[in-house]
Amino acid sequence: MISFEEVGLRYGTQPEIFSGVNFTLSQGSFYYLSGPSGAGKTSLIKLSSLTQRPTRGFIRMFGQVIEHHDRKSLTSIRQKIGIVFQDFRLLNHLSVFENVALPLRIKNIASSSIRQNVEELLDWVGLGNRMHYQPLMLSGGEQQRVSIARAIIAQPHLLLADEPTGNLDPEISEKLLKLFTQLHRMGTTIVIATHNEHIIKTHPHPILHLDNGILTERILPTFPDLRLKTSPLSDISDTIKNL
Amino acid sequence: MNPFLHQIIPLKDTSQDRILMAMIALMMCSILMIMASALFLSNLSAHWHKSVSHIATIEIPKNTPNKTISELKKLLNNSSLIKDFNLINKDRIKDIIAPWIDQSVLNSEDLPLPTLLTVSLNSGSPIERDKLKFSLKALDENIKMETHENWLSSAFERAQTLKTLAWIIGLSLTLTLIISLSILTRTRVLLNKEAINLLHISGASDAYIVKQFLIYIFGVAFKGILIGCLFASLLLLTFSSSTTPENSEVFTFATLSSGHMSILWTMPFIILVFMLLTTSKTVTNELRKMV
Repeated sequence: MISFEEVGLRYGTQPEIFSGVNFTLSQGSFYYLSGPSGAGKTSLIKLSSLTQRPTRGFIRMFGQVIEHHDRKSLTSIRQKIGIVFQDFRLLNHLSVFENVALPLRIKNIASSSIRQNVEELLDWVGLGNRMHYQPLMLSGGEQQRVSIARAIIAQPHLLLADEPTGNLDPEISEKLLKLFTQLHRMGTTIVIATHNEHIIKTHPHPILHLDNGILTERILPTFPDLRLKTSPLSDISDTIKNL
Repeated sequence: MNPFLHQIIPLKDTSQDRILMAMIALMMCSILMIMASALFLSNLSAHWHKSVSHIATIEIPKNTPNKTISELKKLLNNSSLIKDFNLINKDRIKDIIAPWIDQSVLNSEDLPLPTLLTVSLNSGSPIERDKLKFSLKALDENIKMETHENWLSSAFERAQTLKTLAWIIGLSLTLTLIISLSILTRTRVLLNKEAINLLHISGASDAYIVKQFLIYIFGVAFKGILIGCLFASLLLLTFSSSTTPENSEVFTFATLSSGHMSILWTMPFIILVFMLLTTSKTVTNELRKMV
């Protein structure tokens, strides 16, 4: 699904953040991206979400080499990716409904279908009664739920989350991880950038560890195979509502 | 998706939109007034050409012998260049010179008023006109014929200069409007960079984002142009209705023909199209700088 080949990145004239990063994520996999602060986790997420171009090397996504694509054709690849930002990045002038509906509007989905899907998903994440609120009227946890709903509404093939638990208390973080695990069971490829060791230990998955510009893959001894096939939406509904 | 219903990028800013709308309205009104002036001048010079170029005035000094006058009549009647001629009566001559002469002198019997003839000319070459002038001189050295060519060509030149100037000012205003719009659009792109980035990340194409800007600019520009056109129409109507019967002789021809009206009222649409093209080009260029 994603493969990095000798990828390097530098900002301006600064030294390279990565030196020849190589990795491959297969479809339906679940990885943590760990490393100390400033190691470049966010930069790697940016590269994976195509919001940053590498200064060298190749990124292959969904079987296509990104460097060979022009701006126009990148949009179809981006539509297959859902992102949960650390700072949520909600559009505060729009309602919760419109924030969640955004990826569907971009995909030119009919309004009636958008209404049905968004209302269903907002009910599912327990924000059905707040769909006309503006994001700033919601708590941090609720904003996170809106951000997650927006990331998954268009059923992305790949879900990237940058420090999704950074602003949340341990209890909500735990519930959020359960949600990601359940989305993974439904077949979504998930990459979570985090430096929260507790979460990594309690919800074990393979780890891509980034340190001093070098990426290594680790698998915890207790790592179970959680890559099960689809489970009904209702199974994860309660987890999401409790966030 | 209906983009007219969903303005995702927060481009609307009531106070700034009003300023932009007022600027567009003012520019539009100025452009239309200047264009109208250029077209008026065009009509004016055409009218002069049509009405004055075939008229001449013959001045016969006071105390010219009757014999010379009858020979003059004969000459005028026999000339193929002359369609007809009429005597301008004394009172009309007095009216013409009244502003420059004291009333007591004007009423004096000793005032050496010449006899003036208005002559309608058939189309003829300048050589034929010069020939007629020489024939008149041969009759009496003091008889003068004025064909208005000198002042008419000078007036044409001035009208042409003013017309060119009006077009240059109109184009400059249009350019200023378009450049201002380009700067404003660039500012709006930078101000909304985060929302635009989010749209890009979510899979929105550049065309989708450009469309958002076009909808916004169209809304503001259309209202501004409409207001500008209304003001320009009111000013033009006021100008037309202010022509009194006394000066209507001068200004009735200075109304716009349907052809000129079409040119004038096509301008706002052309400017609107230019504004939308500028917006599209500016946003596209700015988006290309983003990932």
